[in-house]
Amino acid sequence: MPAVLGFEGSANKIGVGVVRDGKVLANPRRTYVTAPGTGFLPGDTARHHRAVILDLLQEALTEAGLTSQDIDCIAYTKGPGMGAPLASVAVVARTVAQLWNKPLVGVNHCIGHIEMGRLITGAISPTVLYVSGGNTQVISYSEHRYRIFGETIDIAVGNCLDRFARVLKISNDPSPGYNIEQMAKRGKKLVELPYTVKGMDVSFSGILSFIEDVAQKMLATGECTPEDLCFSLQETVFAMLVEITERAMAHCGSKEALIVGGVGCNVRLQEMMAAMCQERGAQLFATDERFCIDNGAMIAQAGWEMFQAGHRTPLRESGITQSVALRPSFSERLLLLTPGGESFTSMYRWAWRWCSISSFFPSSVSLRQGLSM
Amino acid sequence: MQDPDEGLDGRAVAEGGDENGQQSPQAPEAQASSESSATEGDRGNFPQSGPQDASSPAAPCSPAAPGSHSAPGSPSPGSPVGSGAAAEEAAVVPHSEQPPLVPGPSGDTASTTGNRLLEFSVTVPFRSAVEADMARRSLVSNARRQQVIVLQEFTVNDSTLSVRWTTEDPVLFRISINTFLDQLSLVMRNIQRLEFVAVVKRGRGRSRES
Repeated sequence: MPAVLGFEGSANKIGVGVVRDGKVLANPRRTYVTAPGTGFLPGDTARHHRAVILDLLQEALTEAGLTSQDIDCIAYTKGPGMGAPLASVAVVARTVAQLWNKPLVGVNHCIGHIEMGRLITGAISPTVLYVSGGNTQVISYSEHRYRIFGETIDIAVGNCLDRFARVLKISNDPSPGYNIEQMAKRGKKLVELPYTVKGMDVSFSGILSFIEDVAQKMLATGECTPEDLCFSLQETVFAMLVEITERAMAHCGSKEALIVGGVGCNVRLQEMMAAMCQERGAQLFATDERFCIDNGAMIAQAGWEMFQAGHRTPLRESGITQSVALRPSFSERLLLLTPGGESFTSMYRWAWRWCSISSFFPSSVSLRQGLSM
Repeated sequence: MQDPDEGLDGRAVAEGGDENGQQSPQAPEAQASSESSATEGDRGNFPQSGPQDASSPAAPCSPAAPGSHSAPGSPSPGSPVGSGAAAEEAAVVPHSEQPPLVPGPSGDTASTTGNRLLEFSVTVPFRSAVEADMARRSLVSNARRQQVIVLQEFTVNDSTLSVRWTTEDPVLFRISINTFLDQLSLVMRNIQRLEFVAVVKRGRGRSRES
């Protein structure tokens, strides 16, 4: 029964988790919270992570009741994410792996979310809506492969919400998205915002620009309240996400939908997705904030599956990859995801091949196929 | 932020030694000359090292070896992490005094790139060759990200880690050095903390962890 220690620190959350055979033994986390009206910068975030990561490591081991001898593998977020925080966490993972003489496994952050979502919810073959501050993708299983059916063509939905929060100087504690959600519950008026679904993809930068522009004017004239704007923004962007998810489910004949990523904590999004699933006779799966928001256990879980499949990351290849989540054109996507479409860069290979494996079941064959690079 | 020298009971003690500063077998050789620990907060109080002209001395730069005691306000000027390791002078090899201003198509002037090669070196003593190599392998992967612009060369000689930067970009030069020092500090605290846990475990009759 291997136990895996996972380090996550790709954005403003730093987490260390311990997973053994599908059971989360520990999952402590810290969040770098900035002042209202501001975001988090890579250097400052990395400084925060460096300051707390060793305490978190100790906390995780204590909570799990394990020692270094009980850990079989060290997993860490290889990418995507912010460079400085990723690098700082990777340094610790490498050092711990050497100190304890344990194998090292670099994990794709996106895969960590999906694998943890599947583990916690028990979803078998879901259409995955991955929504966070840095990612917005609809991933579905079709013809023996997981494929990216739709995604944002510019900014992530969480990024849209976070940046809107800055306009209104909404507190970042515990997170701007959470505070927007609470304010939205008190909203009464729906302000019409641009609705930008482009086929299977979505776009949020225009909505953000629009609402940033009108917010001050409408608030100044009393046309609406900040709560109304939060409500309107949520309703609009979530409806877009529901639409593209439903389209993917219709294409694949999927009867399960799984929401992962920090924005997946939003109860309103879950309600809207649940309504859509109910209309389709499908089932919705979602996790709570412990596993939706970036955490170490999700990296440990994905690392556990990779470790079981025999994957190891040599130290000389353990560098972080900041921009793994690339957005190829449709033709490039088709090339990447079709059998024989091997002419992609190492960065593409990591993210897209993972999404192209025949199954996310922890079978050694499928994982080995997905991990061959 | 937790002081890495803080023991489990919260008292600030010298790693590898007691509060009287007595050395333990675990204390590295560099500890005697080190006056501050490589803590995150300390670096923010120190003048940052940057590209230096050959005529001006480079800020001595050394990470405190594991076990060093934090002495508030004691580090030498310009030393992000205290003495104990030598930083060779950051050398600038100017091929020209000042890059000539070249008028652009619109009439605006822009400086040429020039040929100012910036170099900086730091040597870090560790308690053993194993630790020095461990630190190198932990840090070198991150350095590869900017190898095209900032050349970083890692060398381990016995228990000493030497790192040398070479670049023409002064901004990335400074960023790379500062980043390295931050991460080196983290590596050393990591080694220090896990070793400390091992000592506690042994004291309680459990098997050695590493």
